[in-house]
Amino acid sequence: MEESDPALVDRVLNGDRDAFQMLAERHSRSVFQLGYRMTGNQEDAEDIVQETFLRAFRHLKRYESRSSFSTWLYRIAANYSLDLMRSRRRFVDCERRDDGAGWLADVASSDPSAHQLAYSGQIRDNIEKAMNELTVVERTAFVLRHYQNFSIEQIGAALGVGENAAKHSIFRAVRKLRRALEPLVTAV
Amino acid sequence: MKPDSASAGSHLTQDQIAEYLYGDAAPELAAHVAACPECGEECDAVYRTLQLLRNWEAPELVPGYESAVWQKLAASLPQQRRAFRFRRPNAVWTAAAALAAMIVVAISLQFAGSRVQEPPADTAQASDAGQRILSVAVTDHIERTMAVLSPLVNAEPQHPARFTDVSVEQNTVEDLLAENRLYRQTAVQDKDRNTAALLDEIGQVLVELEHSPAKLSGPQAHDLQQRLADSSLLSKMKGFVSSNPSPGENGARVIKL
Repeated sequence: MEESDPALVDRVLNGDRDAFQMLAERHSRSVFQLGYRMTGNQEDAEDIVQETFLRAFRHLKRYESRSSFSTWLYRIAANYSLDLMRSRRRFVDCERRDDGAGWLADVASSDPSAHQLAYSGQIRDNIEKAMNELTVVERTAFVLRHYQNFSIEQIGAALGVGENAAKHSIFRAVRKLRRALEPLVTAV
Repeated sequence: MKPDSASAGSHLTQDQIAEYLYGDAAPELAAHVAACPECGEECDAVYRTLQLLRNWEAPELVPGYESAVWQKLAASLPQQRRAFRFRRPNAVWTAAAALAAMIVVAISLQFAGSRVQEPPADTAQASDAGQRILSVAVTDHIERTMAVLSPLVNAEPQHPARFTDVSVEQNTVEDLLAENRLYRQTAVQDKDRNTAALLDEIGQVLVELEHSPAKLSGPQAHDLQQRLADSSLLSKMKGFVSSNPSPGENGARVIKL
């Protein structure tokens, strides 16, 4: 039977480095997913994975087993992603694309398989552009709520804001995404 | 698309719709969505947007990605000392291990004795080995008992109104007593009177210490010190240890676990 996360954490705290390897290997893909959704960049996501596990290792004593280890880990990853994004100011002055239907017309003339490929690629591009329109806080709040199933309370704690502020960050993100992706949703 | 603010009259705002879709909304919002076709349509559109976003995956990762992450991570992790918890083996188990070793030696002794063709030197060697094992185990036990008793004997005289806390010593005494009983029985069976007498004396002091209050008053501490000094118990223990030195690092200290 697979050893539970809290049991592995106990082993790490008792000096068993191999147990940390098991934790890192178990959660690295999901932390990568989170990092990618937060930054939209593969290299940044890889950086987030490394830094998240380094920080987790250093502060493992602070982990309390009453919450899930993955939630604790995602919080570390979200905080680091926030720092990373804020320091780079990557999500300001993004060019807004209002002609969402345009690319659909372009790919429609291609042959079916190329069409499908281009279609999924275009969806990805549009989603990433829409995500890039969000502020750092909105994006973090939305990613944690939508993909990681964090509660409003947990998001507030991760962002260092109150529950109301966390909730409104999510609402703003949904509004912006709805607007940006409307042509795509209508076309599908 | 619905307006963002609540000024939209009786229809739900975008925020309320998001709240509804994430399951955080009050029940009356759900009732409104069910009853209002316009809000139902808007909910459906937002729902489809969120579903579209749900399918947004990070790029496919190569097989063995997890191992690669670890390889890189392992090089950056601070070196961590292995914090093994060295737990002193339970004294009874230590003593039991010593006795088990003795039994093995005794069996080989008997076996050697029954083989009449074997030269008598083997029997003597086995007997010596048995004695050596017992001696090592008892020496170890006495050294640990001395470590508990010495601070009590050598403590500065206390003011009568002050107390000496012996609770830490008492925790160890319980183990030492169990161990002491086993070794004493073995020494008696082995007809090693000197060792049995010393262990008997040690046992009495340990029993006394075990049953004394956790905090000894000045007079109680003084009384215990006095009796230990009068009996010269520590000197006898030191004498036993010096006449039965523990094997050096190269010696086969098989008992100490």
